[in-house]
Amino acid sequence: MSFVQVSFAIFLPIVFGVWLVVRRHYAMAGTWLLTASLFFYGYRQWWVLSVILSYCLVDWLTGLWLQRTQHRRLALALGVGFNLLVLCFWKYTPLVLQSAATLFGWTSVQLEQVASGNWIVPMGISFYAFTGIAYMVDVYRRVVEPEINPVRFALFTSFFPHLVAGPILRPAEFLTHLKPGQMPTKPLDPAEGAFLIARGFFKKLVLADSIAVAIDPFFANVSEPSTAGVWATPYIYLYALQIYFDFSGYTDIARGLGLWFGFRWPENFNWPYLATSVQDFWRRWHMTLSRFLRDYLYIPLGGNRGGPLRVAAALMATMLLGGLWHGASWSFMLWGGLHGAFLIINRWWGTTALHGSLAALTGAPASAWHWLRIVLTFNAVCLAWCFFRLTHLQDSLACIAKWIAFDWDKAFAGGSADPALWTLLAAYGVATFAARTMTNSEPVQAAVARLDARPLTSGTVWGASLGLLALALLLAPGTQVQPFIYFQF
Amino acid sequence: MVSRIGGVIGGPIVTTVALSGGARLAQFAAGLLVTLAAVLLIGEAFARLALPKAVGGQLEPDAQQPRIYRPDPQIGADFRSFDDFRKFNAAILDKLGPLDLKKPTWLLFGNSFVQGPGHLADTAERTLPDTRIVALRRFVELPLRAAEARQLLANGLRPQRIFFVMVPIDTVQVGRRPLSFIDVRPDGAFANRMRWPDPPWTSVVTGSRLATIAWIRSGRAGGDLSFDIRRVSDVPSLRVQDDLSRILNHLAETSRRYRVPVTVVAVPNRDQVFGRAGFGFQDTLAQLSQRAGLDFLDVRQPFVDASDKLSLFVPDWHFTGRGNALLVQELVEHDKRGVAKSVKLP
Repeated sequence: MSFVQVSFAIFLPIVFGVWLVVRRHYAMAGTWLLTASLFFYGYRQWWVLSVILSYCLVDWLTGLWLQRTQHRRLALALGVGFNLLVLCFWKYTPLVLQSAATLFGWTSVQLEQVASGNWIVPMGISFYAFTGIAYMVDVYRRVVEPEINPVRFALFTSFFPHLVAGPILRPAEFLTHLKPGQMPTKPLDPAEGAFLIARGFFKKLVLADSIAVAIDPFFANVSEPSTAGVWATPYIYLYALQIYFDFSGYTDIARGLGLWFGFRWPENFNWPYLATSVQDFWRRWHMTLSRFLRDYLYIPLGGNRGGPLRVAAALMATMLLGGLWHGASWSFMLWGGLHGAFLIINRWWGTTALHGSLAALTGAPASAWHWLRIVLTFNAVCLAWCFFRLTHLQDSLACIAKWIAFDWDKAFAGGSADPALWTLLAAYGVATFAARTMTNSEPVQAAVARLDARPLTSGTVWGASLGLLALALLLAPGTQVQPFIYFQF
Repeated sequence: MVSRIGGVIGGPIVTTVALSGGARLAQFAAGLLVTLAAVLLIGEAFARLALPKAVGGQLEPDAQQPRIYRPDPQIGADFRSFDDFRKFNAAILDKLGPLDLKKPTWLLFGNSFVQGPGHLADTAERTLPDTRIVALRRFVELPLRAAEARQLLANGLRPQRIFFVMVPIDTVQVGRRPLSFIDVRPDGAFANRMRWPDPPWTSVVTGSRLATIAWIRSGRAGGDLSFDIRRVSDVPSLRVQDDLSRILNHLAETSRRYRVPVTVVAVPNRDQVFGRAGFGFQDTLAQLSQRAGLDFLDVRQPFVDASDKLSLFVPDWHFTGRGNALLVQELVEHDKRGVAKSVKLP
């Protein structure tokens, strides 16, 4: 099931309503949420339950084993190995078979099945595999105690709001809150939750899907003569916004649902396209994956210890694996490799004298340099997106070529020339920026406090949420909702 | 962050004084209604600037759409002239060369199962090098496929057979919008007639763009409110059958006038092949085709009997290369069997 399916609109009120009734009965509440989560995950694809339940069982047993055994490294290696092996089987079998078939000239019906997309990867497998790895490593590092209760552990892994596309939660952020006495018995902030959910739906259904309708034909024909002369830059910029609205929209909904069930989860995005370097970008984009890669890959690989070459190697390995995590395609590796290269350049740049001089600027020159860094970073990220959006190398290269070489007469053709789309994006950008500025402004906060307007404010937030939700449903571009981009990972 | 808007504004910075229940409720309601109205007003302004594509297409014909149609009493719409038709299909017709070329020819009509890249037309072209495969390689509405056939035959094309391929999902074309709801505009655009609510709601729905969108999205603006897309494999309603008959009769008239046999081919969908749906669509189409005097071919059996059914389909329910090859093979065998005997050409 997905948040954007009609069935979810029936599922959520039932699950939430029953939870409100049973929430004070610890065992019943936990069992109910686990049952609902498994129903959510297995809906119309019941076989995937065997995959997630295997993960739950193995990871839970590994946690217990880690506590009892003297061979802790072996236990960890076996547990993590299982997670990675199953993950690799589902995600990389088509790539391996297709590469082998190309290499050895194999042809068979079975290969055609895999090649034509009949290979169905269990939704969100990467996310719950990573959640399990984080748990086992934290138990190994004695950061958390192993979980004794299998139901509680299964709920930690499979709780439906975060199950399919994160945020990737650490045990301390969620598992510990499921223990008796800590398990929430009431919603945390329903108004904020409603606003996050409504904003998430608006971002996904209106912004991301409107962009998808505008840009998909271009990317589908990027190597064809029909797009000759068209300027790729606006399309790539639009894709950058699409993936941001799509993914951050999902995260908003997940976090909003979390609040309704009494949990506050970490942010996953913090204005990523205002990053002033690629390193800064990764502190703002998919933040829970970034910290996972940092804590469970980059640091074990050596991290910042050692000389520049060792650090560069660790950075590159981390980003290549991060790229490969996204999917069975060489283009994802290239995307990761590009980010690795940008991060290495970024580190080197930080050691130069020129960087030091520019960092010491003040006033208008400092501001200009700040904005130039934002523009440079955004374009570097967009360059990498070409390999992320287009999974055939020749298409990615054709896209980059059209970034540079284009015909002025046809530069803005097709979806990128739709003024309504740009108006929509500009209006949303202005509204969001204004809201951010206002809510961060002390005079506004003080004025609200003086008004003593808690019911008024709460009503305002609910009104905005209802309005946004209505607009999300009415202004969505198509009759069919596009699936979340990150569901495929 | 805006995401904290509720928490920040409504959180600990607010000093709460005792308010009566009624006053609290009034404040809450005022906040809710004023903000809701403000957000909806912004949405209304935007909707007046640009309608969502799916809705806009129902209200007004797409600006990109060719203005080449005229109303037709039998099938709702036809091409205004052969010149318009030819210009619209110039790319493919120029590639085909003269229509009256003396070469064994198959003329294929259908939805993406036929016209889509790599599907039936492409597979037939690849596997039957001695036969000229004519397919216009574009998706058009079901009634317009019959109009296309007449245009091509009236202007010299003489195929040895026309295969008019239909999949259960094709009933959506006349299911959601009956032929009587086709509205060809004076400028030649192909559009829909809308169903509006009864007064006084008409002025509400037509007065606000958001209300219009809501009305269309509710599905109440469609031509046939009883049509259920989930039941396309079943026996179609009598109303849908009547529309299908009109299209098949149009085809049969073309067939007789130009002495070209037409075979209506019923292709099963994935649900039917996997036994999850019945074959009411095929059974009804067989009767309607027979009544119209058209040859009929039902290819359900080879698909149902296929050894590895999964390998026949890609995830979006179209056929794989194997599925398309099987379909071509059925057409070839049908053609060889000389089923023209069942077609009563004058």
